Amino acid sequence: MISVLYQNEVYRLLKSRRFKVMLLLMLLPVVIYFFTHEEITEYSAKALEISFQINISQFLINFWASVIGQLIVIIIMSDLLASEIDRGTIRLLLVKPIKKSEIVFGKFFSGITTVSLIFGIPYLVMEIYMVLLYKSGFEGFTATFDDFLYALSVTILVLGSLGAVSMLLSVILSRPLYASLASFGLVFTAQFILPQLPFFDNPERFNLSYQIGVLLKRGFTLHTGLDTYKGDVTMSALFFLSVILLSLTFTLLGLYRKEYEG
Amino acid sequence: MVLSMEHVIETKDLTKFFGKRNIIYHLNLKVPKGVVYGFLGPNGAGKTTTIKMLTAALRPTYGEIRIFGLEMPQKRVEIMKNVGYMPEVPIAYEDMTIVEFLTYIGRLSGLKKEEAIKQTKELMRYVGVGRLALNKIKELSSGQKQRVAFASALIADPELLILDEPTANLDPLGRIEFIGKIISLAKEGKTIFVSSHIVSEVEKMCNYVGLINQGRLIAQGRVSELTQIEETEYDIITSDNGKACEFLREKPYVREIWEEEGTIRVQVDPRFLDEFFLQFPKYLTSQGIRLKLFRPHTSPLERILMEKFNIGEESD
Repeated sequence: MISVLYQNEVYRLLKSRRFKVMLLLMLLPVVIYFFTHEEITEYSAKALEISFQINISQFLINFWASVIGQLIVIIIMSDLLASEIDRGTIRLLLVKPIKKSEIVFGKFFSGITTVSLIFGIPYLVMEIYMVLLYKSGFEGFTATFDDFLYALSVTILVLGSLGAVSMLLSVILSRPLYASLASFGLVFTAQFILPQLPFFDNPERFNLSYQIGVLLKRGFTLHTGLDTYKGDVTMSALFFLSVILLSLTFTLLGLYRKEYEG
Repeated sequence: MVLSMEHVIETKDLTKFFGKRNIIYHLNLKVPKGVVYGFLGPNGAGKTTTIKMLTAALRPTYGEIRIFGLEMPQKRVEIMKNVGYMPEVPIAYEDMTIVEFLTYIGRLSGLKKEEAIKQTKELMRYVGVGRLALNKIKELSSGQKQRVAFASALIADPELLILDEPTANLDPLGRIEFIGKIISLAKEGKTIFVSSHIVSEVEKMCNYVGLINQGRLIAQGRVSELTQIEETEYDIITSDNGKACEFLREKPYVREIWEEEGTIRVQVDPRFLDEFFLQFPKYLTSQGIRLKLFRPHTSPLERILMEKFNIGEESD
């Protein structure tokens, strides 16, 4: 049953105008790179890989996973359950032989699939463009494909945790707009306001973009610039994974406790 | 799933508070298998709240719900394999077409894709929205949405149908058609729980009734059993109303008599009903007067309602 819910939700999201706009927005760094890329001096798979790691991590930290990327994830994920509750269609699901856990996980994974496409397509376009630019062919593509997958995995892990928190808030608040605003409030307070308190050392490490840098460091070994991001990769990964699991558990509890009067 | 139980729906002391407001009070519903159960009561009586508890949208403050003998909401998933539900206000995914929506609901009900598509096609014809198949739900009128909601309730061929004010958005012809469909579904052996505040509809559709007012179940049982109260007020039309009135006015057991738009309305002392039924037809025959219409002034269910709810006018 979860697959029916998942397929329908992904289809609905991909068909929406919102998805197309968000995808176009995420393609912006690729367009910027198209016009501003460095002069190519060495045409090899190795040079391509180094350049790919440098460019993708720069765009990821400064654009894709920054405010704009976080905004996109919050908007998508907070709408998944809240719109069902708000419009009353959740009652259609409750009168069907489908478990509440299937509703939560089906929705979460459909949201994550959409987020993966919104971020993954630009990463892939960037990779293909760079392969063409470096004239490194299939060898270059395979050399950078691991980096592409790694960057996407890091994005999903970090922004997925943000999405899971948004889903939890959306069950509590029941309205997509309120849930989005609350998620923004929470996320930006946690990233930018609380760390400014005097007893927080190294406030930038509370920033999601900074943590992306920490996580990328493990996989992007050719990009030495990532060494400035101090932190334990395993601890960061565990932290984001725990946030996802805890948020989904509480979302499920919220769904069990909730009453649907509308 | 084996559906072996005396009552398809059974509630025990079902109670619901919203804050300090008591909406449902110790409701003990018993819906036998295979009946069309009319859940009748005025607006705000607690019908929709009860249905929301039966469909797990609301949790009872206390009390028990058993559907097919299984406890709700603990066994919701098992129960819902055999339940079709149609809400008071049709709810649907507005951006979907009718075909997409019904196929999706069919698949969520456990049907395979091919089965869901087949059922969707049949049901669209059955409820009369076949030619609108590719229209988005947001483009439909409220009556058409109601028909789609009815189709979605029937998609998995459920044993039990829970319908909340199902004719609310339908036009008069649609209502007649709908009542016909309910009667034919009942003949197939389905148990149908239908809430309404329209007495005449419940009378036509239901053979079992539960009367609810201010959250309390006032009466429950077979319509035929509940309505075994003798009528004392009749509407009569004869070929000579003047003579018939004259005769009746002289009789001591006639409490009141008046003529209104060609119809005689007579109220008889219930102790002398036998005399009235013997003497009046005899008089008409002797005078060569033809009896054109003779019927109780109110329908049996309306009388029960007026008696139980202590009201002087019909509730709808």
